[in-house]
Amino acid sequence: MSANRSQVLVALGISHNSAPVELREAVNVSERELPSALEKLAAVQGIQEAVLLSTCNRTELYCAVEASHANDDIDAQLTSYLVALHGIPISSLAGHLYCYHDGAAAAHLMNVTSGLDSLVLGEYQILAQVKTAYAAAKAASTTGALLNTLFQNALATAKRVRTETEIGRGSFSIGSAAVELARQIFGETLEGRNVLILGAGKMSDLTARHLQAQGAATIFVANRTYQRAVELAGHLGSVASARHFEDLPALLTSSDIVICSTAAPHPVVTRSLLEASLKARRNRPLFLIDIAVPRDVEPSAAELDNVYLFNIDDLKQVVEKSRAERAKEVDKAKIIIDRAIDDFLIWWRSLEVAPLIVAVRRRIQALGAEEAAKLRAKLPNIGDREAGAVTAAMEALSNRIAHSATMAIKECAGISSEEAAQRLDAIRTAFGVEPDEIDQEGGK
Amino acid sequence: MNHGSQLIAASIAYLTSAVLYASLVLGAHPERTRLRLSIARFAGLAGIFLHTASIGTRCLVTHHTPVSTPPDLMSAIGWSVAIAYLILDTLRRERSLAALGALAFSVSFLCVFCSSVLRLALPSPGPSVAELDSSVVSLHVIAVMLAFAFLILAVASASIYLFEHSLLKRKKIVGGLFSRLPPLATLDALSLTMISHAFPLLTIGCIAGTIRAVASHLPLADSHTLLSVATWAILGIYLMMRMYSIGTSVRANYLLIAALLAAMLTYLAPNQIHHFS
Repeated sequence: MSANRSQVLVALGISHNSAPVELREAVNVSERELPSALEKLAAVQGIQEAVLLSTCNRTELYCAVEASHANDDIDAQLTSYLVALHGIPISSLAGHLYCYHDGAAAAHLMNVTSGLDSLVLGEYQILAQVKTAYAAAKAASTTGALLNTLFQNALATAKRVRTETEIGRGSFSIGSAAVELARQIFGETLEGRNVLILGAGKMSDLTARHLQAQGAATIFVANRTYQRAVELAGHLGSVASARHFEDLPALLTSSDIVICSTAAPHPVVTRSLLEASLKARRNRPLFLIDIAVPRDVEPSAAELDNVYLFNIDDLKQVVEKSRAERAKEVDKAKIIIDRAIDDFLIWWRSLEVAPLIVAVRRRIQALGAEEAAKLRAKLPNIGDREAGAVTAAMEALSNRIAHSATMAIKECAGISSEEAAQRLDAIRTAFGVEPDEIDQEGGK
Repeated sequence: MNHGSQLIAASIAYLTSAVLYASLVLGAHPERTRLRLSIARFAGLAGIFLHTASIGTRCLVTHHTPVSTPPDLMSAIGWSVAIAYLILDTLRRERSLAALGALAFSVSFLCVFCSSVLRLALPSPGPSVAELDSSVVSLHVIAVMLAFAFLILAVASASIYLFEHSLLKRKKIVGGLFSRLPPLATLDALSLTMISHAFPLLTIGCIAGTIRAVASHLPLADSHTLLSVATWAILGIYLMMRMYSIGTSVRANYLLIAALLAAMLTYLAPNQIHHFS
């Protein structure tokens, strides 16, 4: 890929693909630390623009580096920056860092923002995290034309990927599968719904957290050992409260969603218990998620009207199917991303040819003015009106030639670098523009 | 553009809308869903506009109400269903209503299609009964027709509910179709809303019909009247069940299907006092 002559784009970092969680934690930059980290990053020699993206799964630096500094040293400097920022030994990063330049760096950001590089393929939390990182960099004034365009394109591309493919659809875990089923029964939000957790296992904790995030109003936690119920309720926050296991019939009446994960060797929620509670519930639907092995809910309870019972295997098949379907969508997402990368690179190359455009235009206009002056010198008797008309005609002619030349130069931004370089050189020679003149324009 | 051409254009628009809504539910070509949803809405709206123009043009030409002949009535029912869905869609603006949209515009298309076939199949109608143009009979027909439209939408919603309920019970929860259906609670609420509109309209229609029959000394106990009262009673029971949480949603939804069957029988049963010419 051809790079802008004045800047090189660098992406350097670690992610869940390259580093263990301990290392990711060690180089994580919190939201509070971000402004000062950005300030230090911008102070690294040669860095003209910088964005720092740090999530639980990755810490990445995106930098626009002055071309004169963009040699191998820049990767080492950025590594040193990370090491110094966190006070970790440089050896700990060995073999875990990756570094991309120019087009590859742009492609990496597009993939990350669209969720293609996420631990859970297609998850959409990363979009908000990239947005936050970019906003923080803008607030710290460490972005410029290159990173602004790159990040805006990456965010827009990620949104297109989400709306035009099904990559973000489906369930990622048992918890999200349970939420999806609950929403299919109770509606888009779970506001006002009560959740009952039977048994204080890790899985029911995670599932309850998913349901809580969807707006579940109250969470009751009941366990044979009351103290464990109190502990789990404490973890879940103010919406949760511990209940005695003996209150089960009453709890079944007041709950809409029940998550069962006790270690009981026999069903604790029997058909007869549910039949009695359904009468008291006035036939409101009841959604039961039985993730216990052996099962906590008597299987024949599924035959009751208004009872929707799912066990761990039912939920697993939802997760597996979603995973397979999301993988199918990757190719579609890649087509969108490839197109966005091409557009970005064309825009970037157009910046590269901007100094040549200015130099050529200046040259043509100077030639026009020179010829107009010669003509006036040869015809000293013509009046001001005629002289003005000659100058205007010459300017119009210059502008038309300059326009054609500009279009020809801009076309070069969209083709491969070798051919573009040959064409640009031909145009430069044809208009008699010296390489020094282009350098002068680029430096302005 | 005469009313016939307008009706053909309206039916094409309804069919387009139904196909696009169905494609959103069935998940064919998942890309550009927002665009397809917009086109489906636009096609439905265009269909209603053209259908309204067709009905208006025909009324101007024949100087009769839009329900003076069986084909006219059929066409007007299709129009009412489309209008009822448009109101619902405008109020809720939910993508999950696409399943209902597919059914509603399919019904509208079928009504327009059957209306055209009936118009070709039936001999040219003679002068219509003068009573059909009286204000009480117009109120009776229009109220019953709108109630029927709301009932059709409620049954469409109930059918989707029962289908989704069966998928949940059989644990057929994997795949795009299941996740693209509206939530059960939404469908339940939609059916209730539709019947909350249909029931008072049917009450008004029945009262207006009774007034006309008594004033004209016509027999009240004909098959149409009895079946209409049966439909009205079923809808009343449904509303009672929902208001007082009696019985399950599944039973209530089956009741709505029974109500629609009774309503359809009303149109098919032979009778003495309901005729067009």
